[in-house]
Amino acid sequence: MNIFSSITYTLHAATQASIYYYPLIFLGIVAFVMLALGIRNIDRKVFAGITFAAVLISMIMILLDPYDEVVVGNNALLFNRFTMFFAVILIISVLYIIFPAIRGLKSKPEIFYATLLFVLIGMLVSAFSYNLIIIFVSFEAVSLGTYVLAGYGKQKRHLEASAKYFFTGTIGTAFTVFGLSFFYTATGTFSLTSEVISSSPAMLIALIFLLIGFGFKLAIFPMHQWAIDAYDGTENSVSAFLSTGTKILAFMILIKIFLVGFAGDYHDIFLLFVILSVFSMTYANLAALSQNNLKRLLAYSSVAQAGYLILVIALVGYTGIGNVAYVAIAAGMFYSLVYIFMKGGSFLAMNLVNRESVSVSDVAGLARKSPVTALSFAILLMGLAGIPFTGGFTAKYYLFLSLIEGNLWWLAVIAILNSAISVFYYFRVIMFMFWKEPTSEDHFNLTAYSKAPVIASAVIMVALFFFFYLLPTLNGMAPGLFATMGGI
Amino acid sequence: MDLFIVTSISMILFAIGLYGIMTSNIGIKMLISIEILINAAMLNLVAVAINFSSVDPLILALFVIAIAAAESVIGISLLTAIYRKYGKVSLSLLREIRW
Repeated sequence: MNIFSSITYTLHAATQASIYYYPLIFLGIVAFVMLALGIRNIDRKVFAGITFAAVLISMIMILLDPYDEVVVGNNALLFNRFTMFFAVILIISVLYIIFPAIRGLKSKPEIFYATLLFVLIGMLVSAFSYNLIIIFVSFEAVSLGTYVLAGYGKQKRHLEASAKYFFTGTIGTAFTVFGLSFFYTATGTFSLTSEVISSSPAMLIALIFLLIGFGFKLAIFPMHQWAIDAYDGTENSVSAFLSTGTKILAFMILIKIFLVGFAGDYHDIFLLFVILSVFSMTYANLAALSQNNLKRLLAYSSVAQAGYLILVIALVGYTGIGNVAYVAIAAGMFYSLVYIFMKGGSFLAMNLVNRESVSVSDVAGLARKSPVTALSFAILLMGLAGIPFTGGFTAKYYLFLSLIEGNLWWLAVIAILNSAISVFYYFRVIMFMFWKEPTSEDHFNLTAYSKAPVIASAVIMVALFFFFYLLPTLNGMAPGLFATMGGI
Repeated sequence: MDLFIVTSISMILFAIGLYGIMTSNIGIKMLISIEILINAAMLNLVAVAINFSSVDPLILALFVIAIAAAESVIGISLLTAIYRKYGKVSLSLLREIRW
């Protein structure tokens, strides 16, 4: 009787929330139709157009939904403005690698785009979910899809990158499953609510195992080595997606699991994340200083950016849930939005050079060939360094400001020193672009497909600098993270 | 059975799997080691389910079985593609990406 009533309740809630499922169902139908269209010999640009339209329509559908705190089942799915924000961010990260990816698609483009749509469905489900089983399954859907995307080109470099990504990723999966079993031992539930107040040894083991499992995808310091090789070896658009989409997804899941599920254990979370964040930032910035390969330099810089991102978790662990925590989470949300444009745009800028592995000296003289593109790439790099008049400055400013508000000024000092170090290697690239002679004449690939995304994301970067008024809105969304904890 | 004993056994299995991954360079061996890792975690899940007399961990275990199967499919197809390029499935051959 009890089970029966709970099933009917769940079904009732599910039909009530059915409007929120339409984007997911729509994306799934489009993906299958596209796979079916693959038997006809259709041009790859048509597939790209279909995918772009479908993803854009699903984003509009999500933006038009009312989003007034609908819960399905026992926190299985939760639709509010916080989850919607991350869903839209993840959609954007897929949206603008669709057309740049055309260049690398030699055969069977429908499989690439269908896989991309299936990955997007997994991302959206895990953005909306507050249940560890559903988060795990949808996260694995994303991982499996990205293994395929990484090895898509089937050249030696792609296969090596995909193999490294696959083996580290599956080890991460095993750690996650083990951590989930310990989470259940400690709490007796898989849904993310603050039911456990005290910390126990099983909880600590679960904390460490889940951190290792999801940290592999976020590529923070001890778990970062695969990321450098995988970003270097894959197609440029795929490495843009790996370093934006899956990274922001892992960040969002870490926020949910550690700030909501481990609400009784904030002290350990603070210690762990401070150590990991300081090591990621410092190590990655120092390693990037001596890099000559541009893609590896960007990969190291994305490890450092992950270090900045998890400062949010450390800060909330230090201050506890309150106004400062909301400001920090809002800063993290804004940082994620800016990060997608600056990191994705600079990885897509690698398409400008017609080489398999792009070294720093390959972009020399780009300003002479195409001043606008060089300026756009420079703006993206300055955004990564956090220099004013780019969105990166605003994001870093709010992050460090929230650190100081939470009385963690020493951590803010470390982070600012690290940004200062990072300026050196970004400016080395900018210097090569503007003040060095090109090594050879015809290795630049200045078509519209390679230029447009760089210029577009640079324009958005400058626009995001003036989005100060977005912060109060994000502040209003941030308490939605703790919606399952019963009105704290 | 006591939860502690089963958890210890699954920990030992997990350690064996990790050892297998760290010491081997052959792709198939690594896939088998990963299966051991995931099965160790699943053993623990089943023990927790019996201990709590709850069905939730068993549901997760079913999903993990499906995901592990999908993972081995992708792994084996990846190793097949590597075999076509290199003639071996030894991962130490993968040396294209250098700095």
